[in-house]
Amino acid sequence: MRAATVRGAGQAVRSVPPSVVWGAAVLVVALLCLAKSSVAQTIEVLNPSEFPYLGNRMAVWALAQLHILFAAFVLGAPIFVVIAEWISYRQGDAKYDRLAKEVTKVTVILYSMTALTGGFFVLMLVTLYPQLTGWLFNHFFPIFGIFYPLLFIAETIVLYMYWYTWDTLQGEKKGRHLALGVLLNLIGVVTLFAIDAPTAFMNTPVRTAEGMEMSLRAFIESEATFWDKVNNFSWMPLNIHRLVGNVVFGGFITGLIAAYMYMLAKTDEERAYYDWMGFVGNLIGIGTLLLLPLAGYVYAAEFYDYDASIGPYMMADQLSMFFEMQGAMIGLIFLASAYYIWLSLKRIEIPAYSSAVSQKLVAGILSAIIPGLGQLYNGQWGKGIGFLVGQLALVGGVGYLLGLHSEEGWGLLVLLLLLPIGLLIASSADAMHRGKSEAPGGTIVTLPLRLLASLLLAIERFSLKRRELLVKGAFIVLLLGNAIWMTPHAFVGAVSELTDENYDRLSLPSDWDFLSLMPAKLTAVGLMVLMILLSFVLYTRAIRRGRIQWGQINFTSQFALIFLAFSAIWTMGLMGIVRSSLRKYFHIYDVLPDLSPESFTPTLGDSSTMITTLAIVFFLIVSLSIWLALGMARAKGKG
Amino acid sequence: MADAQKSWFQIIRWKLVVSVIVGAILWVVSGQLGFPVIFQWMFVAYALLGFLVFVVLDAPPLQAMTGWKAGVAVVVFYLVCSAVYVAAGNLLPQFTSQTERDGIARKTVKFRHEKEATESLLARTRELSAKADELLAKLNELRAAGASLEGVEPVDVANLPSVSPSIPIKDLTPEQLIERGKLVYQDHECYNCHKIGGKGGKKRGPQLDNIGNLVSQAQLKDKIFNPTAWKAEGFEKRTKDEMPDKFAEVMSEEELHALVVYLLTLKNPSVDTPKPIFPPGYAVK
Repeated sequence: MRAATVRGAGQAVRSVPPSVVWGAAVLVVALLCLAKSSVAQTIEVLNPSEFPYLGNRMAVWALAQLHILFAAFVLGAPIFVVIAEWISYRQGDAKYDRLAKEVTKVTVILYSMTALTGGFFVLMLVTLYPQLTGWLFNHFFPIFGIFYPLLFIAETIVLYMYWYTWDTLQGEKKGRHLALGVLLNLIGVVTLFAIDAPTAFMNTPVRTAEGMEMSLRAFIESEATFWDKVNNFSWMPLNIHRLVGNVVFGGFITGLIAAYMYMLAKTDEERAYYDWMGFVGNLIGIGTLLLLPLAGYVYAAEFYDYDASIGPYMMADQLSMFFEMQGAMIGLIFLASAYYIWLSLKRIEIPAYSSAVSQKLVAGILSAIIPGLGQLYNGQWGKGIGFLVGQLALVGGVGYLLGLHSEEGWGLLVLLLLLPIGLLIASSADAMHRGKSEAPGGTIVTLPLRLLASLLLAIERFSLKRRELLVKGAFIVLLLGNAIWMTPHAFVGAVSELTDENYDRLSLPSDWDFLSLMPAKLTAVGLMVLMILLSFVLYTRAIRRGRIQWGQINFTSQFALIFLAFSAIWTMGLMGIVRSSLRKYFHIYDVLPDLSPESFTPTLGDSSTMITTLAIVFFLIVSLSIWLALGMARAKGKG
Repeated sequence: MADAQKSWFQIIRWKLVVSVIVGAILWVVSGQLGFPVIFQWMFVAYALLGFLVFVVLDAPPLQAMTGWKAGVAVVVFYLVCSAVYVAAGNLLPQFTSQTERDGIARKTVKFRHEKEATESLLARTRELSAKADELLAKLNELRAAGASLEGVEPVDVANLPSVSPSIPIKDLTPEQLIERGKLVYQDHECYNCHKIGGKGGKKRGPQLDNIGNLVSQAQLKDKIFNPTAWKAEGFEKRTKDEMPDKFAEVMSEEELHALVVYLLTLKNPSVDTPKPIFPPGYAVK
């Protein structure tokens, strides 16, 4: 097959990989054909095939997981790619543009893998689970038959336009290129939300209204509207969780790209660039990862609210050891990230501390805590109150639009929005305050703020002098936090394994049972997040005051970046099987039971082997893609 | 950078001493506080993890690698990470798959019977449809030949085989029925919200040790299939973590009966099982 070609103005002819064309064709054709209701009705009466050796369930699991891994990167990376391009455009820093372009180059290759695995996934579903697939496709016809294929086609077109116009839409035309990037992200987000609907529906199908004397299945098949099915309990929390998770994933893969290229680098200049890129990748990955526990909590809370039996099933019963493993993985990711910061910190030389302290740090930190507070501190009353009111309205409006179903969901949404917006405003507060030597005020209102400011400045002075000691202290707290997070109620695979004979040998003493409860877990994860934030604050302060030599970092750091990417992917696989297993013995929870012999939960041991295998397959493909996209190009450029 | 000049022995020695002391303190203190041995080992493992983390923090810088050396190092690193994750996943306690499969087999009896009934009906429909086609063809032949319809036997619809199989719980002894009820309690994870004999969920639902003294069989059946029918004292104003209303759909009548028979055997007045609060005019449907 000849590769399809796209010619950009003033550019050499570039090839669209044939796999993209095939993959996109397979996915779109498969979806269009199958979503056609007559076909879907036909396959309802077909008998399922049997996948050799692996079995149907494992085969579908493998393809679904691989597809999600590729899709996560393809949807997550463009979000920060556009931000990097915008920073480059605004600040004139070519490094950001190069980062954005290199990540996009890898994205374009991995996009074809997303399409291919997606196409095979659909075909596999139809062949191995024809009745379920037919039922699901009929109920979500507008998504499978119309929106998803159209969105996929639109995303393919816009992604390639975005990539192939990179060099031509420069200078004054850069704004148009950025607009293309924003459009790409909008389509990506809508695509994600669309396909999340049937996924979430399988976990939390729409419930009958109170007092309605009708079975759930009959209600769904006769009364529930399409929107009822889409807007199910876990849909929006899943959207938020996946959106944040995709950016985390993209950040860590960027770190992986940087690590590979750092190892391939021949010159100091290249090493300096890829060292910087690794830092940015880690910053994006871990920065957004800090939001994931909150997003995960909202998601889990919706499950609890939907069906009170699901929560204990995942946290204290059949899936409790999966969460034990998750605790270990998240703990390792936090430790590795803090270790990377530690290595970065060690190469910064800081001159003697000046007593002329800047007020902008104070304004920044205050704004990060509560947006608007920094402006109040600076005496900008109008702006400060405006920010506070605007923030409240924004959170309320978004919460109303999202229609979260529980009080915790609301509270956590507020936190979720406060943090990034707070950080955003912190940087503007910082910029606004440039040139000011002293904070205005002196009234009774600003006194507490000034006291807080003095405390913060004293901490800053101490932290810069003894930064390594502080980071080591942060490591101890990280370890403690992880220890609490990982303390289970009992060391058993499921509650049914707990008997009168072994109860006292395997369970926490009743006085210490609080260690296994949610408040303790939230405190632990809160501590860990705080320590990572502290490490970052120390690091950024050290960079501002000292001198950093890019390219001179301890080589071990590259393995830390690889470890972060591998562990993030592994954790994603683990949580994937957890989400799927929450349906228990149902294909669609409480609606369509899985009556096949494969209707059971894989043990943690079996799941670990499967997840590791999939992670390795994914890494092989990604490593090859990085080599093709950047390594080969570098070698060619040298030649 | 002073750490780079230290030997491994210098890096490790004090950390090892401190970790051993911390591990020993954790072991003794947790033992005194009544933690089981497995938790004591867990605390010691944390001390070991702390030791490893602080050794890595102060380890000398790694020599830069390029080319195939770097490639081999990366592959080995992946293999080590994979081995560690697979080992960790296998070392943590596993549930017994067969227990879950047996439970699913019991829980899906209702759905299997429904499926069998549907399939049986479909098969019978196809059979009858084929017969009808056959008869129609014969009729057409006869009509074409100018014959009357007299003598054509109608299909005996009333004598079609039954398609509603049921479980013969009537054959179970009272003891077997109670055992069956315990299994239903287990299969439908009632223990996650309710406590019996001090074991089970934490405050989400009432303790059931004395439920047999408080309600009748019909009331209890009504509650399980229709959770809003009546509430327990202390739980009447709850709007969150309410009892799931799905059991009418996922539990068979036979399972319900066995479960209720078992629950009604729980008559321990020393446990404060909350009293039922029936709405005004309440009567079992």
